[in-house]
Amino acid sequence: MRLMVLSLSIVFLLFCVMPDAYAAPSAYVTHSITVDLAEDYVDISAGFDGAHISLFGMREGKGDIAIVIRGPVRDMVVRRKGQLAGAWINRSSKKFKDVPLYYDYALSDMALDMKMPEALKKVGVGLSGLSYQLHDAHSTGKLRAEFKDALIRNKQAKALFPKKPQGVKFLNDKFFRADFYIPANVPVGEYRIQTYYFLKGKIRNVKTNILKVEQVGASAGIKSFSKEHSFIYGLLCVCVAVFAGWVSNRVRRA
Amino acid sequence: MQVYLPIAEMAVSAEMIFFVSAFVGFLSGIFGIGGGFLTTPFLIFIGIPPAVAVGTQATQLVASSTSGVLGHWGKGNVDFKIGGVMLVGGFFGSFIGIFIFKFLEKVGQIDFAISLLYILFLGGVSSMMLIESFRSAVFKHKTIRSEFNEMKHSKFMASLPWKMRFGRSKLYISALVPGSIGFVGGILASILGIGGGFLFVPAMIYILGMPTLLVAGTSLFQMAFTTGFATIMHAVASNTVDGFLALILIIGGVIGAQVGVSFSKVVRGAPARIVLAVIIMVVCFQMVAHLFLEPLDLFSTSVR
Repeated sequence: MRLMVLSLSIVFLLFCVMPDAYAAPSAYVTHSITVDLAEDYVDISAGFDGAHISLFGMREGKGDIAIVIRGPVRDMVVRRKGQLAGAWINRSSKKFKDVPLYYDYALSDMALDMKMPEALKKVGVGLSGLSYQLHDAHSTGKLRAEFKDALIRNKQAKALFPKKPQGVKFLNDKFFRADFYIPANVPVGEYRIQTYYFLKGKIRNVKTNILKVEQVGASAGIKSFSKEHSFIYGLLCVCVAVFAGWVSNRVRRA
Repeated sequence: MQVYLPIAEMAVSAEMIFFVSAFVGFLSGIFGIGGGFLTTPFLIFIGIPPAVAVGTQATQLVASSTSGVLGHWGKGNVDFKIGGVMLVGGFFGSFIGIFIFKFLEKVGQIDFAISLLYILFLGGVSSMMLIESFRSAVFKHKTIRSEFNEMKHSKFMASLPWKMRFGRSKLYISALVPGSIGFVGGILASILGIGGGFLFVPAMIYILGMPTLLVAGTSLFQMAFTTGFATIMHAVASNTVDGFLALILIIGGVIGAQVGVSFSKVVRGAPARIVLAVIIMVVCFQMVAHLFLEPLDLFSTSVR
């Protein structure tokens, strides 16, 4: 009897200390989603004029889908112009950490965008959820918001941030697709696409896909050569220019 | 046709860039100007990062000044010795200019610095040109008389060390004078992406007192090297020379210049210079307006 109690309590204890993650998959079974990209790369060649990206997925259950696509992150400086002796010049600036150079998101239920649930906001769904920090901690909330708004507005003007979310279209009860457009001025690098399955205020599942945006062909060659052999590249540019000048002079005399 | 620029990392309309550079080349064929002061602001205006615009425009200037100097060389109108001394100053100038550019970019004042310098130079040059060409059109007299140059005989000029004899230009002056003119030109080539011809020509006539015949060829000679050096510096220091963009600019410029040169035989000097002065003034006023009118969005962003 004592032995039984002991072994039972050990089993019970084991269950208690077992990490949450270990138990998670069984809980997710009913909320499973499958996601894939039509193309997991975007090739930027000399004629590149933007690209459409399609994402296809399947869900089990009735939850909502929220998709976030994020380009490579960089630190960005936002500057505010002020008047000095009549001229408008940059007077003050704020630096933001880890701003995605490209950002877009899609929702299956547009009503979510009106009042983004905290759980989704936390993982960066929606422009209000973008979590980049100011470098200096001293600035007040109002100033911070002003600069942050300016950053978003500026990005929107270059079509690198969305004005409103894209839609997630359901082909039937299970299958869905979402389309994003990547404009011609996007930075190259790795783009992370995260698909969230959201039900009753909680994220039940998440899938991550990677999209590679790279220069290919002649433009990629020029870019990498100019980086790796910058001196020879510069010299070559000068040689081509001198040659063009010489040709032009020949033609003129003829 | 949209073309993706590998270094600027953006797509632009190739025709638009071609036509603008051909138009600027046309003007340079008529007036013998480099035209960098028109192309660089245009490139910045269509959204090409200022650093890339300046670095790439320097490459285009190599082509146009090479073409020009070969023409003058053929007629024997280049003073290589004085050009060489200017060149030494030009190398130092463009070297320092690159770092000034990078510094201004870092503190976020590069746009302001470029606008201000352009306004000062374009405003000054266009008003001088306007006055000069009006005079010569109305009074038919020569205003450029280097033979009676006062400056080169001034006490200050005579007191400077390192005197050199420049046989071709019939000058005996301190090497510091042409050297510092080249130095200023080099800085301008690096910061503004211009050859600086509109500064060199008056400086060489009024300060050095060079024979007018030699001025254009010699300034082009030193410009070809300074802009070439600036191109390599921009490529090495900040990777801001876009090969594709340079190619379009060069082709447009060369074709435009050919048309301009054949056109220049039928246009009269003084009225044509008035037209050019007005064009420069318009560019200048546009920049003044940009600087002094309240911008639509007070905020701007850049990647650190």
